[in-house]
Amino acid sequence: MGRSKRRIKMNNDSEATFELDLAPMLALMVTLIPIMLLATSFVKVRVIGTTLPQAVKEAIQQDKNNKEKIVSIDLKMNTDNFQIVVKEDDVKVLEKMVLPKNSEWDYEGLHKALYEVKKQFPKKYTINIYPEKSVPYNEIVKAIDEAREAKKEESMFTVFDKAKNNNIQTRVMFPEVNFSGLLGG
Amino acid sequence: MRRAVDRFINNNKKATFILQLTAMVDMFTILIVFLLKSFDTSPVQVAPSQNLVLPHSYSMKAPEEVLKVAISNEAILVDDVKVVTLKDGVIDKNEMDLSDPKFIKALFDALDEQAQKTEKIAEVNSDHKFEGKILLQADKNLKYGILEKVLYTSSMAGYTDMKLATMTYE
Repeated sequence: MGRSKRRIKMNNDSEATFELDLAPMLALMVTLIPIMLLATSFVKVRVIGTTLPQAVKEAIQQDKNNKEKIVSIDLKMNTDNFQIVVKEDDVKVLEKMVLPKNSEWDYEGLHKALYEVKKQFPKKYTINIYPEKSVPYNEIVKAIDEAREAKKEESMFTVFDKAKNNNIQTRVMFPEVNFSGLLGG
Repeated sequence: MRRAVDRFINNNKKATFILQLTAMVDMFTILIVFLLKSFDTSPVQVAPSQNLVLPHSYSMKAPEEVLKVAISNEAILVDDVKVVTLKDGVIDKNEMDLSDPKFIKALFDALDEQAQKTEKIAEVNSDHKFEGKILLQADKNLKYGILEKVLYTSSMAGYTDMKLATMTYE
């Protein structure tokens, strides 16, 4: 009797498995996916600008307010080359030419040249860009990209954080870009 | 023979089955998670167009809601309203100021109107103030010559803080 009871119980357990009815869930997903596909953008719009640490922001502000010695870094974009001119109180102190590579703009060369300039003038965060009229907008954006940050393999720059009273490391080079020559004609 | 037919009929009656949807639901769940991750709530929407392809940049800064100026090969738009017509990226001479070759009259009027509107709002709402910010959406193939005119005219209208809109691929 006891054995038969146990057998009945076991049989009941084995039959207690059931199939989940996933059809409503599937219907919901089939509706959701086209909506999501319509609303999702795979190419995102961003603006040129860098989210900066507080210490770097302060350093940029200090650079703007600095009245001691006015240093300006000009980047001239000619039809196929770059010219970097650094002036201190309107006196040219440094000039670098980045010549074309395979008859195209040499962005790698531009980055290296700007990196060297940044090492010489670490407190400077602004560059003035002077593109020629025939330069395509796409090339200007590439140049701005190269000027913004040091690459991962390059050593970082030191900025003094007043709030924490210590030095911090940053890759930021020239995040501020001025389109110059607009009012000068 | 009769027995074989009966067996066939009986077998066919049992041929109903339940669809195994588990694997398909798994796949859809992964797809929905991926789509949710790619979901962008940016205030700036750029309608894809052959004449307005934004340049690619590594910048990851999200755009903020400011006045939008779009420049394509065919037109200059201020907040999606066409103000100047271009022909292959060149502004018609009639649109320009004769005394100032960089000044685009129609664009200045449209921007000035927007600036005045913002200033009027600022008079009654202290949270809202005129900051002179513009989001510039320009086609990547446009020459700097045309951009220079737009930048110059914008600065004349009081919009001196210009952000350049770019594309970032996922």
